[in-house]
Amino acid sequence: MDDAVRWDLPTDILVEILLRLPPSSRRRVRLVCRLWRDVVGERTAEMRSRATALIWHPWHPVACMVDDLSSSSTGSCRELWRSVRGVQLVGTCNGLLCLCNNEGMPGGVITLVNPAISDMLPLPPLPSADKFIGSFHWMNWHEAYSFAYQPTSGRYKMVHVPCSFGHVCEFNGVRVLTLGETSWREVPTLPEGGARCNLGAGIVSIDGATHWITRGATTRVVSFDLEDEHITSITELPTRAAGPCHFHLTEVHGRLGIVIHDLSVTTEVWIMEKGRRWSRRYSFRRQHLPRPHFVYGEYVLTREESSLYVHYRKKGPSLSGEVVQVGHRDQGTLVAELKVNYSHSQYRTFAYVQTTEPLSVYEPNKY
Amino acid sequence: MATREAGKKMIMLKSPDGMEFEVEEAVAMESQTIRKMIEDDCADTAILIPNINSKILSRVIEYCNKHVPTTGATGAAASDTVAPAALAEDLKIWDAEFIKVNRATRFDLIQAASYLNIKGLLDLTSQTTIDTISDNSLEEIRSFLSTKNDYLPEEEQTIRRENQWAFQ
Repeated sequence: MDDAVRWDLPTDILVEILLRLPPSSRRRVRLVCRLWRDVVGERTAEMRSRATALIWHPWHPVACMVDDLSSSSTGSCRELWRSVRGVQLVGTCNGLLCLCNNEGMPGGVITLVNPAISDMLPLPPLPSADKFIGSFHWMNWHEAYSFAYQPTSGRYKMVHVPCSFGHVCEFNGVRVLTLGETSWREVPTLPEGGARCNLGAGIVSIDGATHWITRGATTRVVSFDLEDEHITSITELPTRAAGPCHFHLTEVHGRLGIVIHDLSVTTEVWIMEKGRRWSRRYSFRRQHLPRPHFVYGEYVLTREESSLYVHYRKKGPSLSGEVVQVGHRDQGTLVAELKVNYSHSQYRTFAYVQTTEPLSVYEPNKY
Repeated sequence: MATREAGKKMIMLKSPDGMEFEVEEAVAMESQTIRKMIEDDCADTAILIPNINSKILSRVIEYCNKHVPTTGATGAAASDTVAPAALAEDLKIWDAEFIKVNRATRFDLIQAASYLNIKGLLDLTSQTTIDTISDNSLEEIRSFLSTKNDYLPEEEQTIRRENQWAFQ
């Protein structure tokens, strides 16, 4: 591009334009150049919103937001969204909730919700799931989905991983839906039926890739690139877990993390660094971590019976290499009491930040 | 202050390149900046509009002329005779035609609309740029706005992580 038509609008005009962008778009354009990053940071309120914890109560089912994660927390929570029986929370992205109604039809029925403005958007059903009609009325269909955001393109995608429900409903290949499009795409994985997901270990989408753990004899982390839509790498776990139910994926400071319990009372969290190298970052003794999200900025959540506690991690992201230790005597500050009906361990915690982003822009007929 | 037929108050606007534009006060007051000058009695003879050349200023006046709430000779609102919906539709078509300009002109118009504080014109002129930013890849945005990616790869990584709202 020749310099004769350079963008030479004063910063004030750039501010005018950036202020008129939808919130997630405003975040994305910070990647354009330093000036834009600074303008979004200094002249808009965008970067001042902080994520808090969202607690999903799977039986009611209801999503609550923890008002205050700091040590001055009074333990109060606010109800954000209430669903009908059978609905489960797949995940959250930028203040949007992805819900799956497991009772609607095989494969589940996905709806996106922005609870802050009571906006809802139903998504097209998963293709080829209807062939299982009659086989099962109800399954944990939501466990096979991931709700992903691509920070560079600003697009949202739904990912459905290869998996099997009760050895009857087999899903081979990855299915992807870009928000705003009318149908899912099938991406075959090799070999046929390979890279099958251990659904219990969770699926994490972060920084343009979706990660899951394979089931079977060889346990590995599979990474699926959301831009090119293919499996880019398969990584060994950082250490041996006590058993197939003793690890799960998580997100830590915008990176993929894995929580591993050994046979004693220690829980360790490893983060995937550059070059797909694992590095140990957290070590907990006699502490339970809420799943799947337990780190919110400098706050670390633990669960004791039906109570959630917050621990304050020292300032600055824990990327300098030290391991954060939380011993069994570190009780932390109470931030929320869970209403216990069944097992405490079935509560889910996610990151949430209030946004005014409308969902109508992702209706397929807009394109 | 000049006056013309029907007793309408006229205002003189001057561009830095020496051109003068005589406009109705009501039209000039579409600009909140000029309105404030008039209300503060700072507009005795002619108002110099800095940084906006005559070509752009004439287009801004054209816009304001079209968008000023019209009143007939008797003072009755024109909307009494023309259906408001039809009027709005007519304005929309006119706006779409008005904004068919090259990029440099559009940016000049954004700048003028911002300085003169004309909300409608600012909305109209910035919408195309907003749509472009919303719908295109970062590389396309950079190319459209002739800006360069000045990040180091590590910085870019950091921002990508920060952009996933939850992880600041």
